[in-house]
Amino acid sequence: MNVMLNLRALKGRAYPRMIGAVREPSWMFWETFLPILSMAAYVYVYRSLDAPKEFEGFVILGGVMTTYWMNVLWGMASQLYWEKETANLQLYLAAPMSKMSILAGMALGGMFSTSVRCISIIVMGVIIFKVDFVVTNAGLLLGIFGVTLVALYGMGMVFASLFLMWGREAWHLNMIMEEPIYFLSGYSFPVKALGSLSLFATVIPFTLGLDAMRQLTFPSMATQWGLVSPHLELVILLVMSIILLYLARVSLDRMERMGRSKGTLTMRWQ
Amino acid sequence: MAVRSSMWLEYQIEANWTSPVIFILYNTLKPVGGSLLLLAMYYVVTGGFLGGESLYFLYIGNAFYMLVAQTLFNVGWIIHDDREHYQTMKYIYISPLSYFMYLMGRSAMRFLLSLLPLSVLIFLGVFLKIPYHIEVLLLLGTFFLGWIFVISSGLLLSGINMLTARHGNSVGQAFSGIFYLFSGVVFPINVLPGWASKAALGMPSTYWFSLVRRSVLGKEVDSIMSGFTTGEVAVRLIIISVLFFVISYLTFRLADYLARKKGILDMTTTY
Repeated sequence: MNVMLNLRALKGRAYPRMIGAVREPSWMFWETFLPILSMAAYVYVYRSLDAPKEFEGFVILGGVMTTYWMNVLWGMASQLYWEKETANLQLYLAAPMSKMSILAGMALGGMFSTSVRCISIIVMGVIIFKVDFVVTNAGLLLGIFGVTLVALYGMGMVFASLFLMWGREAWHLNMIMEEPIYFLSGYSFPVKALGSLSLFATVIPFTLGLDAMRQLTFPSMATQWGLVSPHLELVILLVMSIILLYLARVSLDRMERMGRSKGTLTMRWQ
Repeated sequence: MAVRSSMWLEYQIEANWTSPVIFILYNTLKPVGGSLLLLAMYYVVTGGFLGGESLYFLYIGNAFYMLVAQTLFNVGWIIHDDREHYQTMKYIYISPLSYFMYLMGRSAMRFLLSLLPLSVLIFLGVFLKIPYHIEVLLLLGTFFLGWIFVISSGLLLSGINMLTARHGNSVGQAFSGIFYLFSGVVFPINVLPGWASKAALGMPSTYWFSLVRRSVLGKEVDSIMSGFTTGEVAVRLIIISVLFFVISYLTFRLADYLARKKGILDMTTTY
């Protein structure tokens, strides 16, 4: 495998997303400012119910992680389908690099704008809502955050191939993977409240990541609302990352083979 | 004719990818998910699902908000979909059809399609013992005024989208967040800081959600909004909605002019 070629491909795909963000600053308004408003509404729901202050922090952290989930859905999962619709996919498949480096480039480029939004959410949480994050183990927190992102984007890579194979049906799947997934993953509340349903919810990587991060930043709530220990959650997330990246590679190859044999790789609006 | 054709088109784009049963399920899952999220928040704080004015307030507000969010989600996507996905915007422009009427038709169908999940949520509210006291005439009027305010928002959003690149697909959803936060949808507006409460009184959505509660629950539980009579709320909603529509229409026309002038009607941004 030509490492330099793949790194160049990765950089090449990440570049338009990063430069696009600088060239068209309108995304700051659409992708950063406005989504924060919906999230702020959840904070005020807790205030209207006289909930403990930590729950407001739960919403802020949930807002951070769902931002990545949105980017995975709209910037990764549906992206290969979109590339097919705009006739870029055939160019990717004709080029000599690994398709994984294209997806990794998309992920990296998407993480740039998403991270800007996340930092804005945290700043808003601290300054406007006066949320007090008490970090008990910074190393573990960063480790869990990093591994959760790898697992999430790995899932996005798997979805990218599946969505491409399924076409418009999968495009609509994105829609129903927002609010129902927010509910299952405990975006604005501790997922332990779901009881045995939370076991199914752990299939989504950010459920475990979010739960672990909440335990590490709001230790006073960890005993009552923590699902399992953060260390165990880290191990599970590591395993999930490896499996999802492997599945991404397999499904990408399979999608390409199926598309070539059926002649659907260049068919648009299906 | 243009409105009818674009309503038909909206239905085909939204629904013809699957069977009607799956479409109904798909159309309902998102709003139900949103409501469950709020119910879970209520549960972790109060330890139960039943009783309490705040539960009725947030459940009904959120159910009707889905009408706004789902319509705006789609309308916010129409420009980018036509321009960059199907690349048909320039053809629609040169056809004997007003793009404005086309947007009206598509938003009307989306609004109608969103009534179905709303009905499901209202039905599910029975299990939460929501004390319904539905005033049919007021509710019908509320729906009509709601449609005016939602299409005004959609026009404004479409105008902005004509001049901006496609970065994500959920601009409409993000835009509707303004109404979610500042209109007393899931919490009373007195919970907001003072300046935001005052700003809320200048928004049509605040009065619309107040009318929703009055027509579905038979009363208003928001301490600020309960200071107005139903007639006052309706008159204020009509006046602000008309103003909002005029502003949105003019913005749309300006954006339309600028997009033609800049030559970006068929712009493609593949970020």
